[in-house]
Amino acid sequence: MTNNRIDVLEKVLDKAKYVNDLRFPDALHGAVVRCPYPHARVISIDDSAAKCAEGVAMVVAATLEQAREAAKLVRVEYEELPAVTRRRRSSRALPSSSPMVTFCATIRQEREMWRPALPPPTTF
Amino acid sequence: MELVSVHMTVNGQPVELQVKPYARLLDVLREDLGLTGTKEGCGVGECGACTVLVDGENVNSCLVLASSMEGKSIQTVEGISADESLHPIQQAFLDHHALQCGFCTPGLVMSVKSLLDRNPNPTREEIKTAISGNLCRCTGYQQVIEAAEDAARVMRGEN
Repeated sequence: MTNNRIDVLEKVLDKAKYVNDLRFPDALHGAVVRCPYPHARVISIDDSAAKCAEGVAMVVAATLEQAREAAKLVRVEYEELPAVTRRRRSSRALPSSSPMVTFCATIRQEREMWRPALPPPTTF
Repeated sequence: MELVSVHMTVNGQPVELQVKPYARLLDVLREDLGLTGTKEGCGVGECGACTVLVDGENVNSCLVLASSMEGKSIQTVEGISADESLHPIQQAFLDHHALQCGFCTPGLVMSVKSLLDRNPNPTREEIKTAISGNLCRCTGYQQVIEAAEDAARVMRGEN
């Protein structure tokens, strides 16, 4: 008989409980309201409709289904911002204010602050 | 909301349930019947983690309306072995190390079972076709195919 990992028996019997298999009878449920844009600034959030939905208390609900339905009722106003969606060849420089350049510059600044503790950066 | 009444057999037990008209068989098995062995991996019929047998045929339970299961016989992974003993397919999965995280395992086991119940002596190609609707990211399929061949041998009474 081969050596087996300690958890494979319950997994193959399908008695293993994964996180989504756990049930807590008095649990409340949350659902995330997601931004439909790759990059945007949030201008305002109106959750009044969501709060009036059935079963909803604050931003959580009695069942997962109610939470998801309530999340759809949240009205968020966005200002859509430019996003970097394609890699460019290095011969074509990015405009200096583009999101990716700003992001990389921020990372470099952060690395400078923490230089003593970090390993040397990899150059690409 | 008006609920729909469904009478079906699940793992040999007759069951009568009141379900929402849009409830999926997957939800009813996991929530109403507490049979959480069947997993939801994608919810859109792509990954096969939700595979169960309906009248012997392997289906994606995330695409099946529970209300359409009137009179059907459902078998889930909890129902394939008698008490605590392992079905030959489960034993073969163990012996051939055909799982790691185990999330895809119930679906794969049911797809293999559906094949071997119908075709006790499948070719490798037939095994590959039978599991082609089940995705596995940890282990891959080589060990599953070998486990299926081994299980087929055992179920034929050879060994």
